[in-house]
Amino acid sequence: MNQLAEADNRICVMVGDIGAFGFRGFAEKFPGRFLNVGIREQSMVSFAAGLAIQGFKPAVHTITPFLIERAFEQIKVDFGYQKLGGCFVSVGSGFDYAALGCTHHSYSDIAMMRTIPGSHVFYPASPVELDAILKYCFSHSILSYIRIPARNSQAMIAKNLSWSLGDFYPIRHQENPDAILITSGGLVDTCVEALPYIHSGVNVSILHLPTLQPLNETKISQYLKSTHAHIFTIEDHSVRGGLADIIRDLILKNQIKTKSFQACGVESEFIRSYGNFQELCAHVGIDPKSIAEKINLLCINP
Amino acid sequence: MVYEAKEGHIPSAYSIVDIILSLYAARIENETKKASEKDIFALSKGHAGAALYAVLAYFKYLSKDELWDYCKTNSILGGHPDRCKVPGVVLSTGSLGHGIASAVGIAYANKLSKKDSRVFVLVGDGEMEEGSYWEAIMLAKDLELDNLSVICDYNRSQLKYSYHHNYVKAMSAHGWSACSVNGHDFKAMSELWKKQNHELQFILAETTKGYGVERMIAEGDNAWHRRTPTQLEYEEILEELSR
Repeated sequence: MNQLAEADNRICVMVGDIGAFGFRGFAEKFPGRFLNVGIREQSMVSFAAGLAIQGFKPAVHTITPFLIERAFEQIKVDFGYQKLGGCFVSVGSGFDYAALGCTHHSYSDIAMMRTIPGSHVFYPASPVELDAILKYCFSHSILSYIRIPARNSQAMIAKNLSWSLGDFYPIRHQENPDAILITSGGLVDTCVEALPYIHSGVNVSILHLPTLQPLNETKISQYLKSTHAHIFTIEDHSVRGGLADIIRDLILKNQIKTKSFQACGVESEFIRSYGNFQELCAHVGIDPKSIAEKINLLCINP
Repeated sequence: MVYEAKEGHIPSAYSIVDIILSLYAARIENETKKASEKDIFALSKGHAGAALYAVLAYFKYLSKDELWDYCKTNSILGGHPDRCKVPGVVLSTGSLGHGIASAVGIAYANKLSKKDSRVFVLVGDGEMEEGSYWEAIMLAKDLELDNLSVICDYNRSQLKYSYHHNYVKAMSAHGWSACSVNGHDFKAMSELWKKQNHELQFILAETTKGYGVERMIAEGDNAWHRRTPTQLEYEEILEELSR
């Protein structure tokens, strides 16, 4: 952010009483361009729209449910409807704050943000992707939502792939795969960790989609068209309106032949259990073992 | 406008039209300021947009002919103003409690850019029930802004349904400079707008919904809030207004 703000004096950062410590260097370097607006999410978003109207480029940051779900109407009306550029960056999506309970979970943020016309939705898995996405957002006057996961993907970091809008990343590419796992952000490594539990005769590819909207549909459908595999979507989000619906729409629209389509994510429930992220993944059925079991079941005994 | 469209909030528009017209005449369209530092007016209570359109037409942002297309399919003038369509409209409003916080953002942006420009934002007394209104009021104070005036259209129509609040006292308690004015006294308001103010200012404009039309005042808000007059009523209202 410091580099971006250095290069463009219209960039401003607003936070809702989180991350002020992490931004202290930014605040000192760019006086007035960092604001801890406080616990006022709705007016923080409308306030940021006021800055955008006057030519500034606001980034607005706080915990997912309070940024996207609480202040959704402000994002929709003050940015979407008014065609203003703004970058909304959240932490604590899905059930990253596992033990804090349902008030601090958010399984609907991607679905909600996708419904705003013109919005861009991102779920990166590594700091390199995040930097590239932020750079893209600030150099285009767009309404964007970036969901930052609590864990960086070591697999994605090791790949060192350069990011481009709408593209997918083959974390693992197999010729003639039996199953393709499509995931993004915080669950990339979970999919990689499922591999040791998958039967040795089953070929599995893993794709990471850091851009959930807009997609490079042509490229993704070309990749999937040649495979005729079982397609799995793995997400720490509701299976309604998120990655599952995005990929299902793409498959139907492009008449992609698949052996089956399996949506793995949060079904219609509040996750009332506590514990850590991995434990809640197991509860939902998106931990490495559960993912592997589903794949083995379909691919070994078709 | 509203009679042609069979849609709109006439009493709300008559409640604020004197405020907006006097403000534009005394301040916004004041030609002594350079264009980049022009003072800014934002209508947070978007449902009274018809009054803003009339004033914008008076100051040639719109042609008067365009007013007759109000709320028609291809018109740029909707029931609530859209900044992407209407020249001179700063904020697209309609959902209450948004415009006030965006006005705080505009005032802050002007400070960052070192622009000598004051922001005037008009809210409704009903709108002040929104939680986001009070978030914005506290935020403006925390940011130590001195280039923002909030004008409240105090027509008390909403207060029938809620407790009576002393908004001047409440805003003073939040650290704003607060006063009241007769929202239909053109001269008093013009003098107020012309004063160079360097503080957070709250102005309670005491107004009457449907001001200028006896039947709207007498028959009240339940009857007229979103009603279109019949042809006979329309002719009688025009005659009454031209007196």
